[in-house]
Amino acid sequence: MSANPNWEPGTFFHLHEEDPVEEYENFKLGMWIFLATEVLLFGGIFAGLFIFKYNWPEVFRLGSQALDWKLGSVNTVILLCSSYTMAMAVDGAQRGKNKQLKLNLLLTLLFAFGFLVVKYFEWSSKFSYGYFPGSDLFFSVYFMSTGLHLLHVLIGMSFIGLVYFRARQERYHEENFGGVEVCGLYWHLVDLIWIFLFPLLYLLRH
Amino acid sequence: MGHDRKMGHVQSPKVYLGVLLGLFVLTVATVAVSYLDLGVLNDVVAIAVASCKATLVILFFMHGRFEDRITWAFIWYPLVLVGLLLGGVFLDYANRVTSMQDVMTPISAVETAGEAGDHKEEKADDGEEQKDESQDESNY
Repeated sequence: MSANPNWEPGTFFHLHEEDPVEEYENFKLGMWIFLATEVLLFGGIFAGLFIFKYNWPEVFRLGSQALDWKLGSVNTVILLCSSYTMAMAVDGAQRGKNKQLKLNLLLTLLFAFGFLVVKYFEWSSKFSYGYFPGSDLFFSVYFMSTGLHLLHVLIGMSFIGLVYFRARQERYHEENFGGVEVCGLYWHLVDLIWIFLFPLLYLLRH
Repeated sequence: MGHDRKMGHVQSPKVYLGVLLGLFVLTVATVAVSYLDLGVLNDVVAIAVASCKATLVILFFMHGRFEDRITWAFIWYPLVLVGLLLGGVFLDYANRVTSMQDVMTPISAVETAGEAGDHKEEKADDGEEQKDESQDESNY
């Protein structure tokens, strides 16, 4: 049926025969291409934010002052720390230090959970003051952009959870850490988006 | 890709710690700058500082500095497109003389003028219909 002598029944693409270095490079490139689409998605939201902001500067100034910039700063620091622990997790996987990998994955999950807790208090206080999506243009943009970011945090956390589960099975080592690195790339994007969201939503004092 | 057959690159953990400290410093800078009233420049500075932080994350945390040209192509192309989009928005507002409210007034004026025109057409239609009816009556 097949001219390929390596063909075995049940294997469409005999990936197991691919060069591991090439497989690793392609794995990462795939995630980078996906991240490019994420940047385009959030880029459109940022463009909308700026258009609304320049048309109704007063709405955005008052709305931004209703936010607690201190809680926003805390969440910025939390996400930066989680990015650091994620990078250290990848470092642990690269060096074959499974303990360092597992510890840093857990710390990253802990920081991510801290982000969720702060976000919960932030949003519930906004709701109690009667600010909802659609209250005004600023809060529509605010809940839309931070909500979409929150969705990315949740997806990232599930991804990290999966990698932790696999790390416990000792599946990662010096020759196989692509999964950890790709998970790290996704988590760093979550951090990158927040780096831009924070000053543009929380710090409009003028 | 493929020149050295090694999988990834290992950095000293000190690099990661240094980058984290740099990110903290830039976060403080973002908050501090927001107290200054720079007009439109506030946005430009906020984006510039955020871009510096993003560069640090991409180069060191995401190992961007070890990546090959094809990966960098996929890093640059969304950035260039978003830059074009935001640059267009900024240029548009920098060169605008009128505000949105001013633009809306002539549009409403045009709409009332249009409504007046519609009325005339309706009257003309009525006239034609009457003529048609009179022709019908004459036929009987």
